[in-house]
Amino acid sequence: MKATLAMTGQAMAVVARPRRILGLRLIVTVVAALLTAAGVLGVGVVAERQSRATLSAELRSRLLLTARNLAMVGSSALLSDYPELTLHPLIREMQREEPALDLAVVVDHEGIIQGHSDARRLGEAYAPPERVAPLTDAHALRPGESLGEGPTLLLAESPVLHPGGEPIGKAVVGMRRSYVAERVQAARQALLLVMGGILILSLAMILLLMSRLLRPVGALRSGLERIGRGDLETALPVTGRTEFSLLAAAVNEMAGRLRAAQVEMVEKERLAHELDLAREIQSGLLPEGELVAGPFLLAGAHRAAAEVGGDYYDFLALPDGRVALAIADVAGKGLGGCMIMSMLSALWRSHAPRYGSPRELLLALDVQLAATLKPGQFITMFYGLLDVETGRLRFASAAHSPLLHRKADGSIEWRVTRGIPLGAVSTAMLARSLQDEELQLEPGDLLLQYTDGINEAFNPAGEQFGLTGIERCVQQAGGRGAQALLETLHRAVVAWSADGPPSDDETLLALAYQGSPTGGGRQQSGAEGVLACLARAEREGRQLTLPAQLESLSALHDWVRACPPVDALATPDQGLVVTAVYEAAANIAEHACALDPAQRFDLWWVAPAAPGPGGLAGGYFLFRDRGQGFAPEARPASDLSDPAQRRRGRGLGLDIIRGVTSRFEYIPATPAGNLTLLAFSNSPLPLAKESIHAR
Amino acid sequence: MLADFTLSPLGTSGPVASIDVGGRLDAGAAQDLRKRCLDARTLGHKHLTLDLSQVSFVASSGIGALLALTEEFAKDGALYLAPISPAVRSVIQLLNLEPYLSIYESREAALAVLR
Repeated sequence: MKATLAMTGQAMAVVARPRRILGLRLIVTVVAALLTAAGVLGVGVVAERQSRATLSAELRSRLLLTARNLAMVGSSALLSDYPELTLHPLIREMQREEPALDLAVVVDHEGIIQGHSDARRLGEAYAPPERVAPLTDAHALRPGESLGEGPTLLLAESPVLHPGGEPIGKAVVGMRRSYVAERVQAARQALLLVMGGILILSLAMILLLMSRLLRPVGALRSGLERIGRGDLETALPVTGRTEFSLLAAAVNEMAGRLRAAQVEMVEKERLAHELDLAREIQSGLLPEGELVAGPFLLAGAHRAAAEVGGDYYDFLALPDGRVALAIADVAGKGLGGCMIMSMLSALWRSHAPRYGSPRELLLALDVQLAATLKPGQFITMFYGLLDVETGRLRFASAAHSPLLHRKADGSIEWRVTRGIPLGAVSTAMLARSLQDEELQLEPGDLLLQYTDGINEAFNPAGEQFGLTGIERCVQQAGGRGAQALLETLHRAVVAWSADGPPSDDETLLALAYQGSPTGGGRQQSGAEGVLACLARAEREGRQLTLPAQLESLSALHDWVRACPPVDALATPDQGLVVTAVYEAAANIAEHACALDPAQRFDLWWVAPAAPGPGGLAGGYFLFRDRGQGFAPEARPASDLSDPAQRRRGRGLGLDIIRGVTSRFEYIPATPAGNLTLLAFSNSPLPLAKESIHAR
Repeated sequence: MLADFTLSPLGTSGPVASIDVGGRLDAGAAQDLRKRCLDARTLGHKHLTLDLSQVSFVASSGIGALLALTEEFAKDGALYLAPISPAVRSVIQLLNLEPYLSIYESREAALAVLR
């Protein structure tokens, strides 16, 4: 509907611009008529000239012949005794028969009129008409003959010859010139009549043809205007056998396709709208923010694929104090997957408080969903119940991805579970495959669950991110808490898929047992914990004092490398530790002490209580300065997938510190000054290990 | 500037200009490196290789300079890090920066790609 309106709007915009339209029919007709008229007139003018010349030539030859005839008759008459007796009636007869003959005279050799229609003139001397100009055009004149033209007469003279050949007189005939003009005029009139007839006939033919042949142009124009206004229903009439009928058929076909495209577009818009709604509903079902229950923190992340998917995660604090957490992947994308996911969400939320066994809950969900799931539709799901008091997690997994367990010392264990997806087989078979498992969590531990959108993310080379990719991120950021891990994983997967849109939903769920085993047992975080660290450092740590100048930081390099057991680490590990300490020192010198060389800051290294295979685990660096406090923790981790951030090339120091240490705390304005703690719990250091690997 | 930071003059003997970097690449050194590379670009060297094999330490400002220079050169050329020392490699890997930098085992490998 919207599309039609839009198209109508465009058509109106076009119509609104006034433009003079010249009809094709008018142009073609006028041009054809003008050309025809010019042709007919040209032919008429030429024909008129030709006929006038022919007519006058013919009249002259006729006059000459008449003169010759008269001369021939006059020859025998003049030789007789009374020529006038023969000639007078003959000439009178001649003139009666040819009224145009104004003059007919036979004259003897003495110039005396011997033959004339008027008997009274006989015997008079012949006076030739005055001002007669001889005509010299190509009439075959015999000797003694002449042809001339006076003001009123056309004259021909022919000699009267004795049978011996010598001239004995002459015959003169004259024709009225007005007669010639009358004849020419009469011929011209006939010609004009014919020409006019031809012209009128051709114009009529042209008009008729043009209006018949070009009539479809008008129909085509109005049809196209209709289509332009958005009326795609009315077809143009396809008539005749000219190209116009082909054109009309093509326009009809085009309108048909436009109609189909319009329908498709409207349908697509509707679908896109529905998908948007579905996506909104889906994201509305996912929990917002984190859930903190005692020392535990739960956080999840979801990145929707371009197509709406069926990923789901949720966590819930139950009335009995336990925490329920679930992650699921409905097979199949699109609206179907999304609807099943929303149903699963509702069912899970209502059932979770009623079941103490995750296995039982999954079975109950299967029973409920069995009626809804079509053959081939199934759900993989992980469900866990956490006892916040004891740190014990009971869980069951219906063929969901393996569970990652990162222990406080940085080691990683994968918990692979048996199980068949919900909806795939009968509930009885599912019951045989599912079992409850238990996991005892310790402070500093972290659990990670995810959907296959994470480990099956492809890079442009076609390689999967894989469980090794997840493991790499956990090694790098697992020590920094659930949120940091989720962010690191998210960034790594985005970078892996070369910033392209995800082809599948990417969903993560992390459970962190907060607190660090540093110094044995759970360590207090916050100011009190850091002050305790300071007390211990002042008692037993190695100390270095430096002025707040970037130049003096070079002393750090050798000092840090010499701290046991840093000195025992592989060179790249040492390098990372030095870098992290350097970055912290540079931040303190620059931001807290404003690079004032008069200010000094202290640095302690407290070695792990029990050095062993744990490396630096339990050890920490502690800074104390007396400058102005600043807020390094307020700055979020850099997002280097953003080219603008890369171009700035700043602010990576905190990322390095967070990547190398397991705990980074900055406590400004304690009674002892500003304190900065860099503590280690994971060892060997994650990325240095990888660099050894790479070599 | 630290005494143990070294920055070679711009090498223009090969088809592509090059600069050798050695020692500790910290805040002050990063500024010098940035300036030297941008000068090379101003001189018309759109492609540049940096030999970081002798870098014993790199601070965040050094890494930041490499990122910013890579983006700057990428406008109409490229900046190649060939080769890099283990110290540089470990920080780049820590920050997951491989996708944003052009790292090669040797200068020859970088030039082969350029050809």
